[in-house]
Amino acid sequence: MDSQDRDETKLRQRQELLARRLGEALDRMKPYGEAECPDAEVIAAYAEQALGPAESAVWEGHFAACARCRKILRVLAASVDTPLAEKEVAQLGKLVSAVRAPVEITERAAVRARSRFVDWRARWLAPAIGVAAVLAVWFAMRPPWRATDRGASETLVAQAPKEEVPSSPAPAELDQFSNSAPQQQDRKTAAAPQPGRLSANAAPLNSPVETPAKGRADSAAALDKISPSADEARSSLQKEKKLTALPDARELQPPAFSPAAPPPPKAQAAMEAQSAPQSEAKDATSAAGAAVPQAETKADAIGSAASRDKQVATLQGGVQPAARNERAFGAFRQIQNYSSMLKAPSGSTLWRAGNGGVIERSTDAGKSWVSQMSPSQEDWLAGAAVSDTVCWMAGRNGAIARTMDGKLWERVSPPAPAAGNDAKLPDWTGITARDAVSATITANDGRKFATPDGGKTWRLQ
Amino acid sequence: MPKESPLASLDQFLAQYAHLATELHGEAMCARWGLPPEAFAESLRRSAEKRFGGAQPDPDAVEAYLKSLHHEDLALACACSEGIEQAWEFFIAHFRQNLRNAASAMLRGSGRADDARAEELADSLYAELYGVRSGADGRRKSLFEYFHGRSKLSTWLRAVLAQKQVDMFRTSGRTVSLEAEMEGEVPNELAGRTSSVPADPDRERYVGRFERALSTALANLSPRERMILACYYVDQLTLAEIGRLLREHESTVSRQLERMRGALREGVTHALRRETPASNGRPAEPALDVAQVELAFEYAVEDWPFDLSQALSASGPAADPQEE
Repeated sequence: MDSQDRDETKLRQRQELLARRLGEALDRMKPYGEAECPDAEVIAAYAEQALGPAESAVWEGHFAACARCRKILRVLAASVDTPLAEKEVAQLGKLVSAVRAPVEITERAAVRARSRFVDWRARWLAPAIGVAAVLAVWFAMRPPWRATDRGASETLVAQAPKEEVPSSPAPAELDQFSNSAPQQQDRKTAAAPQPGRLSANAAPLNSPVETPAKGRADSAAALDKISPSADEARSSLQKEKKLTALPDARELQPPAFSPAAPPPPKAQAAMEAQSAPQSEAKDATSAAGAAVPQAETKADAIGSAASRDKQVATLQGGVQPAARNERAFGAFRQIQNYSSMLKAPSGSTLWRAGNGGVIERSTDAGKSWVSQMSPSQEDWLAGAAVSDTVCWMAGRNGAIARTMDGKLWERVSPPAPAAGNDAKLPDWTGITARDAVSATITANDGRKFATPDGGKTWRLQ
Repeated sequence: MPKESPLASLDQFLAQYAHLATELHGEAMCARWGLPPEAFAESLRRSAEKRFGGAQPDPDAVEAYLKSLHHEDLALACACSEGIEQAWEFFIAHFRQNLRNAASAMLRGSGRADDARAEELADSLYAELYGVRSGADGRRKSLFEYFHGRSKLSTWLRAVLAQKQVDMFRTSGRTVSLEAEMEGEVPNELAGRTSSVPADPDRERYVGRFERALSTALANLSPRERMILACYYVDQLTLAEIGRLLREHESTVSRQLERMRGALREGVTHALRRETPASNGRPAEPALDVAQVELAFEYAVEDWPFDLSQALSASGPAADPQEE
């Protein structure tokens, strides 16, 4: 028995040693030069098991003797996508906002220059907001300082970027307002938007509506955290607003609208329809879009949302520090131009989206926002938040996206029949969704398509 | 005179596959990028040409091959290669994260992970993807032109990145020689051999026979088995890692490895215990007994390495030359 065991052990040792030595031999031999190594595509196809058996066998013979290729395969296998943490997604959001960087190597120098500038600003979004928030708190807690500067408020407000200004409520007017951007720019500070692709796209997306809403909500939230002195300040500012808001607003109204202005986008209407049950978000959005007196009226009627409106109007109307803060990061708002603010039924999760495919998410009712990786660079025009984790977006050139976990967005195939003769897909100006798989989208020509299976099939309605 | 392949030029390709090219152009949603049908057809032709070479391919096989491609990815790569800005924007928005994740994972694997490095590695691809001007005509040669849609674009990008990383790693001289690695495990047989042990006059003969037997056993392994062997014994991968690489369960890999080891041992032992006829100017050799086989194994291990190139270069199981 012992002898049998010994023999078996010996055999196993022998075969182990043999195999090990063979492995060494495989490593030492170089039957193939590196030039004969398969290219990246063959390696990728092999990794995906997309090669036929015969071709796989040929390349496996190579891999057996080629340490380099085995290493590449190993590295490839180890680099399979894993979901990113929220923080990483946020960082990537900023990186993606610099998407035009590689476009810089195209020959369109003019576009390139504008894009680069815009991207540069976008990269500083987070620190700028942080600084602005700190400044807002600091200014609010220093009433004497504010008082000394009060006299300058009109001037400052007049210099503020357009999103600080209470704008006209009508979408058509907003469009024309955007169209008059070049004239507006004369009045703006250095934070004025660039007339590049982003700002051009931003024009019809009601930028003055959503952007200030966010800024005001942030500022109001900051004020909410402040002690009684802030309340005092707020009340004095509210009084001051009545004196300053309207004239300022008038002063900064856009010039006469051009009769050739494009029709109002349906996006805003669609957004508002979408967010109808989402009262708080809508309040913030629509109040921001309305003229100041309207915001005030709403404020009187709607309680807490109204008080926020008041604060917003106050900040906007005449408080110089807030105006400064607005000015400090106003540029970013203009870049992002959220066309939609969506609120999940729970009330705690919100999404906002807009130009250039920007998507942001808040899980604390709008106090903080995290950029999300958007599957498209198209402008988002409409959205539907079904739950805290399921949300749909629809936008220009047939762009549709969906998230099912609240974090990762995936592109949804648009209905092929929606494409015109030139194969161009329409802009989606509205979307309603029941769940993660059932949605109905509305094209800018009024056609509606519904999907019962997450976009695999679409039916014209 | 042989007939020219229909894949040789775009005109000939379109003459035979125009309908399919148009169909695939629509399927790939090339209109999104404003990619003209000719440009997409040319990328299809290049892909098929690379796959089938200059041979006269079976039209059905070409059609099946073209249909099996990742059309949307191919259209995107083609549009990026053409320098279409919209396609580039989409590409970056869509694949930058993918690339960065891959770079991060690769650097993690080499123990050099940090965000900046990962970003640098991932971004280092962009210039090549866009292409640098080269050649007398100054034509840009984009890396995208090497993507033929056989895999997903994301996988291809990772493979390109992996190649880059591995080559960088190899040229940086960070590889540890196998000798150095094995130094601690394997005694220096050469030193032992030159000691006072008297030389066996049959040693050379045993080792020669062993080498031939081993070549035969090795050539009889399938390419996949040889690859597993290399992964396990050369790259020191775990069974789970090999399984992931080959898309097999680790228990399957373990069984294959065990079977292979046994087959090698038995193949070599069997060959040694057989009489070999004279061939290729070599005289006939008698069969070895058990003790001689033992000695052959011992000497072989000591005299390693052997040149097994010929056996390993075979693309598949080879016939035993001794049985011929």
